[in-house]
Amino acid sequence: MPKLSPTLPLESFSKHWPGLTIEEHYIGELISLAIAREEESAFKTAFKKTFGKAPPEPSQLMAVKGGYAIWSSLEQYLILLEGENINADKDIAKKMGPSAYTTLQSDGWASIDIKAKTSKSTALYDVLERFIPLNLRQAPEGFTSRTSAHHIAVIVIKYSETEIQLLTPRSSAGSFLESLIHTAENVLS
Amino acid sequence: MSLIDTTKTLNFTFNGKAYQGFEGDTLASALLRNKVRIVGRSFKYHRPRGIMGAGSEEPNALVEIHGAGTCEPNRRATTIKLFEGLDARSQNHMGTLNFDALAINDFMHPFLASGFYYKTFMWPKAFWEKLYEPVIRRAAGLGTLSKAVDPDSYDKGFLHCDVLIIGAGPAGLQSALNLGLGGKHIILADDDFRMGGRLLSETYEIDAAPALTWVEQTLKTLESLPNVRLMPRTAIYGVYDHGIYGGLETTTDKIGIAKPRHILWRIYANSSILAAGATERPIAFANNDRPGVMLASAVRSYKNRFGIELENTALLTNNDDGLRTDAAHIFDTRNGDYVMDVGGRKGVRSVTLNTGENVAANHLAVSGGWNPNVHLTCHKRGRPKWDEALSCFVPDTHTLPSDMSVIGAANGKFSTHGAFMDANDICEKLGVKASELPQTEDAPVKISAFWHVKGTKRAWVDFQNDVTAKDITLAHQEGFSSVEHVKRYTTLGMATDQGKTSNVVGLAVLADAIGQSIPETGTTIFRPPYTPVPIGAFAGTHRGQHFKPTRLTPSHKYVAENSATFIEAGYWKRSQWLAREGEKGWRDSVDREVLMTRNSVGICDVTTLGKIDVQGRDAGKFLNKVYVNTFSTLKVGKCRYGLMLREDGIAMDDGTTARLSETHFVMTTTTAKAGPVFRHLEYVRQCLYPDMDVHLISTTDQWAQYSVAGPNSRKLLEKIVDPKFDISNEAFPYMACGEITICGGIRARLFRLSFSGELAYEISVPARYGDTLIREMMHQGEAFDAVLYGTEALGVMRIEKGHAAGNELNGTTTANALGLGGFVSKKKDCIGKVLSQREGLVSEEALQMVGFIPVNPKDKLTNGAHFIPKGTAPSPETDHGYMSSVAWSPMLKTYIGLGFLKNGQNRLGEVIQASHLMGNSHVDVTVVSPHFFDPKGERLRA
Repeated sequence: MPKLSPTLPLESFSKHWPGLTIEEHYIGELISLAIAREEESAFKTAFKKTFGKAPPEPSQLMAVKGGYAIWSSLEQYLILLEGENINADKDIAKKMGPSAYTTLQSDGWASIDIKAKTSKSTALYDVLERFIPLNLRQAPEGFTSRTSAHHIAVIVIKYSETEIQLLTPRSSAGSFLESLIHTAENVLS
Repeated sequence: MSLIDTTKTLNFTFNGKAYQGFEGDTLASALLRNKVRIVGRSFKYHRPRGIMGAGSEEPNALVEIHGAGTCEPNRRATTIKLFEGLDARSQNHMGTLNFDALAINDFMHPFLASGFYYKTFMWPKAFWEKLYEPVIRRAAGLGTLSKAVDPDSYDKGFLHCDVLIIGAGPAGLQSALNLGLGGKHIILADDDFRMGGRLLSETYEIDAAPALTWVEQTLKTLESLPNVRLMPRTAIYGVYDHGIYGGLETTTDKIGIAKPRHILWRIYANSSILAAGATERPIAFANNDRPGVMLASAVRSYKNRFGIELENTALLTNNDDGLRTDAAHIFDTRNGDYVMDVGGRKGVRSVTLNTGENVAANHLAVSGGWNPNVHLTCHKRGRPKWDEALSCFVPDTHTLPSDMSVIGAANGKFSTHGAFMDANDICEKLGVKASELPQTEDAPVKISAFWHVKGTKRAWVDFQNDVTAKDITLAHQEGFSSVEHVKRYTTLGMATDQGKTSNVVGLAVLADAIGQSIPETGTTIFRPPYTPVPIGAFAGTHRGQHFKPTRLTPSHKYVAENSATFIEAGYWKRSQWLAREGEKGWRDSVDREVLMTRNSVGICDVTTLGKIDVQGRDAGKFLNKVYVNTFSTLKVGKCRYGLMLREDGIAMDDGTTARLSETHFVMTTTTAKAGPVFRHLEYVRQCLYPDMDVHLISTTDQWAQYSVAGPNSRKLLEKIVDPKFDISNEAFPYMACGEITICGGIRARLFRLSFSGELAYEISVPARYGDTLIREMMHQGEAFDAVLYGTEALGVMRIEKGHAAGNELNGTTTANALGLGGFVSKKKDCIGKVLSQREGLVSEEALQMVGFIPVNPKDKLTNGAHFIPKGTAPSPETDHGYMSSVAWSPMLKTYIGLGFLKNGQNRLGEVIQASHLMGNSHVDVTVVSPHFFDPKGERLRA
């Protein structure tokens, strides 16, 4: 039987500048979770049982059992799970029961990490303020939001003052990355 | 003490002649330093013009900057920071700057008054387009574009702050200091490359020391604060809704450097403080546009900031502020002295007073009072109010943008003390304790309005547009009394300076002509941009490869390796055909791909089709509403074709939807309509049926999907589908679907669908496996001579099969027209059902989709041809429909076409003419069934 192997959307892209790194990394599994109508209470109970915490509020990144959770839109959440499990949506669906609907989203997105070398480096925010229409300098750690950059959708997650993750649709990830690199070179070169 | 570093010499050229300036110079100051008086020609009369101002208000000194094989026209010399190697050239003249052939216009001025082009050139009629307009267009205008590709780059950015302070003069600096020390996140923006505003150009003292010392100390403090961002050379050009401001940062004036020349900032501010200062205005008198007639404030700027003494200067003023200017002769209108005329065509030589006396002078400094820079207060429909005591418009607090405060000279507080007071007051209002008030001058405003010296000669009001006081009075005589009409008739206040120096003087002249006051006359509406913004800055990085995003499928790399020619489908790049060695044209490739697919097996990437997860207890009911046919009865493990209508009954999109579980459907859409369909579904879900338990998620990018078509498609798939899944015809019949595993446990979905009319499947895998799956399928397919096929072959096969696609779902067709009227369920309602039954859409005369073949097999069909009954001439009355899709069928060895024909279903066998008037093609065609190939569908069910 032939074998298939996974490939990353940006072929593990990596580029370094003094004080700044932009690189693609494996996203883990990304599952969307939608609350079944009139099942809000059951959903909260199942969520806490499955992930160890109450669902996150808008703009909030929450560390949960196995990874992170973010609010993605009204009645919807995204779960970012560490490690590879292509059936993660089904596993979560079993745990959540009829209170939620799950969809595998891991392959729909590319993940780009943009990191500063030190917290004193301003390069990270100097680049991002030319690219993302959000106030990331002042956003707290654990901030997350959906927006667009260069006409391409992006989910922004601020893990720390020196590390921001950009999730962008896989099909246009190449254009997104080209634009980001172009901007970084405008700022840093 | 000037702000020029005379130890750093900068070489530059103007009109090819070499000059030297210093670090800290503008091009204007450097030209004056080198005693260059004429810097350009006026817009209409081509009169010699010199430098008039010292900042962004400059109307005369517009030049071109050259470099890197291109040029940037209409740059104000007063805002260009001098740099080594600057190549500046004057513009708007035929011949040299000194001997401009078009200066003849000045002698013809009686024929060129405002609106002359509305009254002249009326005959002969044919001359307008052929002679008059080309000549006028050639003569008119300011600089010219090089028409070369812009070698520079531009960027955009987004900034956020608590308070945006616009202007870094005394008011702006003091408020920035207070708010910065108070912990507010502030942005201080100024269009000058040096912050300090008028303090750089005057000789004031602050706290008993030169004002420059206070400026430097304040800037030093601000630079040390992490919550303060100083943005010199950044013009705030627009005020928009939701606290958004447009800012244009100029990083350099050099052309062709590696970094962006301009950055267009979108600034989100919780509140703003407008501290943009004021602009001095001229007085209109005869020949007041001679080179050497300057604003008095500019004369002081060139002296105090740039260290340039303008020799033998006379002063005309109507206010005390003008008296700060060093002048050999002072004419104060309040004493009854004023200037009647200026002598010296290429530079001031003398001034003639109202007494008739001639006074020798090389420069004339003019101060007609100050206009607060209220433009930005008006971008959201604010209107300034007239202040009689100050003789100027000041902001009206009742009409300001809600988040904006105005301070300092922009607020009519013309003393430095007044500016500091305003700054401290506003900071207290913003909840920040103000610092101690610096001690400085507090001269009261002493002015007596004096706008215009009446006479028979021309007196300039708008220097940039060559509008004189006579033009304005003429406009009024001709019936234009509204200031907005006068502006458009005379061009007063237009172009790059937007009337910064001319508007109020023009209003005063108009008010005088009408016989009413200035406030009764009103103002024109100020709109963004306040200062010119290069189009390149608006475009930012969106040019070349960054013009728009490109979407690629997971197989992109592989098909590119196999010589794919790509076509854009929306943002997607899809392989159109994949050429092989020896093929002479695209038709060779497409014919081969069709034949190999129909004879064995072909693989096509269909990832681009929209995929939407529809989940919920009411998912079936929801689909019943959006599709004309029923989906709630679809069994799990089955697919169904669906047609979706717009609310007006016109076909919106089609596709297949598979049911994976009781609560889970996967809808596919066409590539082009994936976005609109998703938006439509969300509208239906959220607005029309909010009580339904339905959730939608686009999974287009999640799954890589391939069509595997042809008689050997099943055999190929059997090599990769895990053995526990039976995909035989019996176990997995036409329109079956299911979740399976392939290649030893890889998750996949299999759909038995056929767009080609062949035994065919669509297989999807998580996109991470998309690249290796197509490689593996092609590897396994070698045994069957499998072929990759592109959208052209796909199109040929779907036309052979009579399937509608984008050309048929073109926004004008209905289910009936598409031959799908029977699909519309009579048992349920759906969106668009009622309006699709409108009489004109269902009558016999309505268009219906049918097939066409040429009577002569050698004839070529043309897309877009219209169907005309034989023997009649093509006309709207004889038009019976149109051809929507054509293809050469390698199976049938003839051209075939799909199209829409009136009452088409009842005209099978009829011969009509397909006329393409633009291509002069008239082909006899036979009306046939659209199902050209395997009409019984035996192959797809095999």
